[in-house]
Amino acid sequence: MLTHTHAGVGALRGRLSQLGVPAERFRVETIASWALRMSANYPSLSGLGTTRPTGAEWNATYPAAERLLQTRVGRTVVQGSYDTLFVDEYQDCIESQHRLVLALANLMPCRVVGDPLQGIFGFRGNRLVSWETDVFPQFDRVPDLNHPWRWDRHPELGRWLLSIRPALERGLPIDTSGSPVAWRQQGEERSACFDVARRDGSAVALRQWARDCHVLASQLRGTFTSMEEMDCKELLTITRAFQEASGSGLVRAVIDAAATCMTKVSVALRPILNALDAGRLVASVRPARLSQVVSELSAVEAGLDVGAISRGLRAIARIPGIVAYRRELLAELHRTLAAFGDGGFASLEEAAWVVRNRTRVAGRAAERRVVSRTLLVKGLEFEHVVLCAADELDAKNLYVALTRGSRSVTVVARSPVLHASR
Amino acid sequence: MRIHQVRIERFRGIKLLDWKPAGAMVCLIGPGDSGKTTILDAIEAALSPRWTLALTDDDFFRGDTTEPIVVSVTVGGLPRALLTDEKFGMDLQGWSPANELRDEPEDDDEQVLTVQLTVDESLDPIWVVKNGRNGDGRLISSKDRELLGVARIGSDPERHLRWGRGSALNRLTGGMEDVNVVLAAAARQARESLAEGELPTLEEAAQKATVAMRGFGVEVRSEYLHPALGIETFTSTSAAVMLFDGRVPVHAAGLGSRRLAAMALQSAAVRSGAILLVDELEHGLEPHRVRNLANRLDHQAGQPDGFGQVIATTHSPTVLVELPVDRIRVVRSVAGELTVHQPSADLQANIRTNPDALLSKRVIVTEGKTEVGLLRALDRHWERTHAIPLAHQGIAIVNGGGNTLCLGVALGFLRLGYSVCVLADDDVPLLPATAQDEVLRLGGAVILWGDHLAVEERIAADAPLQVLQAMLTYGGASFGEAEVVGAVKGQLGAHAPLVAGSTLTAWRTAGVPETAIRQALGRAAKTSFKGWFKRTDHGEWLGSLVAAALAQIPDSPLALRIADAESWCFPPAADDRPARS
Repeated sequence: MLTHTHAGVGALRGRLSQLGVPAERFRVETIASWALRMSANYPSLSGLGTTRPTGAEWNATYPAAERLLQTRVGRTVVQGSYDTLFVDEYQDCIESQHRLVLALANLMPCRVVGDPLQGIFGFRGNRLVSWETDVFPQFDRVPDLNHPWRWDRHPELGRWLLSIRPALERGLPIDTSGSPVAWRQQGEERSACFDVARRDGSAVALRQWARDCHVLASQLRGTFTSMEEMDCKELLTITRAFQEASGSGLVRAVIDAAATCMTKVSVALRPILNALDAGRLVASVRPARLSQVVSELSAVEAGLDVGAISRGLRAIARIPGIVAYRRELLAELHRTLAAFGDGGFASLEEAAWVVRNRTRVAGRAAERRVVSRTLLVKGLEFEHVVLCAADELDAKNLYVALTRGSRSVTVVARSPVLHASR
Repeated sequence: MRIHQVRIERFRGIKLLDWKPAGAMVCLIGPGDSGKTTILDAIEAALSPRWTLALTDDDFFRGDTTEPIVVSVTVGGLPRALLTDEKFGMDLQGWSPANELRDEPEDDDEQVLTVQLTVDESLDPIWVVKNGRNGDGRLISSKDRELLGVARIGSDPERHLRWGRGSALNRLTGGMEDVNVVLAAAARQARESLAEGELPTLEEAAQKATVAMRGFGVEVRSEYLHPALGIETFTSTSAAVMLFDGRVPVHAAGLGSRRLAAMALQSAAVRSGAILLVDELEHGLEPHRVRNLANRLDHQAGQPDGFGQVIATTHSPTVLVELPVDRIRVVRSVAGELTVHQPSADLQANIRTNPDALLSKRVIVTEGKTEVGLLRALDRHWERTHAIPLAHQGIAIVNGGGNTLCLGVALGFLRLGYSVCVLADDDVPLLPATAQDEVLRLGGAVILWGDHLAVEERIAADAPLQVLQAMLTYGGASFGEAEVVGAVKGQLGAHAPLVAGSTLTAWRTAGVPETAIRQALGRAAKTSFKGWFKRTDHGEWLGSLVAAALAQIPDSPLALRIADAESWCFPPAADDRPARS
């Protein structure tokens, strides 16, 4: 079984083991990791350049694996290992992945499932498969799956979500009035989110862009935490800054990192920043409410150990009035510092890369309430969803967003009638 | 399965061996200390499903443990179960049509895996599948090595005749779970022997075993063998159950039969073509059973239902006669560096007629049968001086088959690493002319009778006259006295009219010069009636006369050439000649 995300892999494995399928009877992987594993073991046959791809280099793994399948050894291994292939979330396949799946379908029975309305992964210039021109001509079509399992306990919401599909597919407006979906006027995002936070159950507030998510999370004062991008560039940026700085520069980098993750840091730490501006030592800062922070940051300034950075960040988080809203980033930062402190890494940045990779594979820690984007929560399920600025979303993102909540859906928009953007 | 390449480093007597068996049936021969059995031991150690190996410091070459023992074996014809991506599907290499290893298999290549065993001074064996892409390799479990189907028939074949772990009988049987339950019950019943029919699973295997064994020439008296408890080692495990022929356990048969039975079971047990390693194919068997076995293995090896490959060792001429020459490999060791040579097709006829030659260390290649006989007579003669026959010196005498073939035979043996001496006539040149230089270049010796003479002419020229008289009489006995005298007269030219009667003294008295008699008799003996002595037994008769006469003609060319041959056969002790470098 191939799918696209590690979250998807985890979900499929969970389902299969719930159904009592013995672990040795199946294998679930992302298309990317499967393609890499195949082609990296036969680099000259597959023509794979790098066996540790990053970013756009991943695109080279699919044609490489496809080339390997043209060889006898590639076919031997695939046919010796698998009897049949399922591909989940097929709407997220880019064209080169589609070609790889077709090559596999030549070797064994192959079934693909997906929802054209949820195809939102087309970026970096990669075209997604088209159901009409790519999928239907290649695979026999079976009757549509149209039972809304997720809403078995809220069937009315489930039925309404199914009913809006034809309109979304044709780009027509969706009227929420009289529907199970609650509408709030544009500008009421915060109160909509606070309302949801007072109810039982998990919740997600969705924005279109990462920056907007962090802003919204900071405005929600810690009731929601901001979900990080999978590659988490900011973790690498921060650790690189730590790596390159020392003395007062390192103290500033630590305060910058704190400000990235928490509210009101620059105000609360003004005396320390002033001291640094004046070229004085952190230790010269007097206010008693800062004594713990000053003591830890002095240790940072003296360059004693990386543990001081972690302790400094924790001391900052404890200052009354300061609230951490990018808790995932903060937790990863603490993990990175601890891993580096344990030794075995050449640099903080390398430790960060390993820590984040571990999370990528193992999945994020479940947070009760998060601010996020449709791209990051696809395949995940919450009890409540708040669509902030629903007017910004195109039809597919809108549909993905609306279908995240199993109990309640709140839409914040200019009008109860939603017009998907183009 | 089939082994394509073997590399052994620092294992016992082997410092280094790099070998491509190149064949489904391969039979190793060579001097006793050449390392044949060690090759089998190394292959077995690398591929066998044992969990551990009982090795000691002595298993390292010259006991030096500073560098590890490394045995790499490249195997093809692999079972599908090993080719999944979770097993070793990602570690495949290619064996090219040109018999070369390629790290990533092309479409025309056979897909192969290289299994490498490493043992360092800790004596802990490590088995990995290795290639140029997977670094230190991927560990391979004993369970997966078992799929490679390597079976060793050594001096201990009994193991395979009971239902013990890893035995051929166990493989021949399907699932053992039901059997073990029954056995536990049987154990509780105070070691009573099992009634027939109680173990249908084992009965079925025993019947298959019977058929296979009969095919290999094992005598089975009852209609079918049956499983029963071997009392002496009884435990509740299935290893206590063994094959019985009537009331007699099969493992009580002679060693040869036990080994045959074990091979038969292996052949029946491993569907996908096991690799059979057999030490001394002929061990414990009568010649007719040796022939049957060699033949059977050769026909089975590489066939769909037979062994994937058989690698055997032998000291038996019977085996060499039975096998086509391209199945034979000659192993040579020079200070632990092993080489394995394949005899050229030129030697096929020689091996068939004289298989002992391949099992010797040194070979005298004669131009024809006369010299073979002559040497046999000289062998007895020399034994009086040296107190040791040529055979015990490891010297074999081979008929090279005439002036156009004998150098090719000599070269064939030289290239296999034998010491070679050519003994030939000088009347017509040995062909091809370049081959003689090549023989000398490879360290061979060439002894010619000299003066453009054949052996009969040489003897007639140099031997005392009574020897010539005996030759004439002997020829007369074979072809008629008048006829041989006529033949000699025909060679006497102007002196012919003087000849009367059949005694040389009479001819001398009549005025025929001695040199003319010697020349004419030599020619006649060589040419008339297809040669009077061109049979080994005739040559041997002649040789005994010559040997007896040598003391009388010590400075003659005949005696000197024979002395050359003698000193080649009995080199001075200081000249401890190496096999060949």
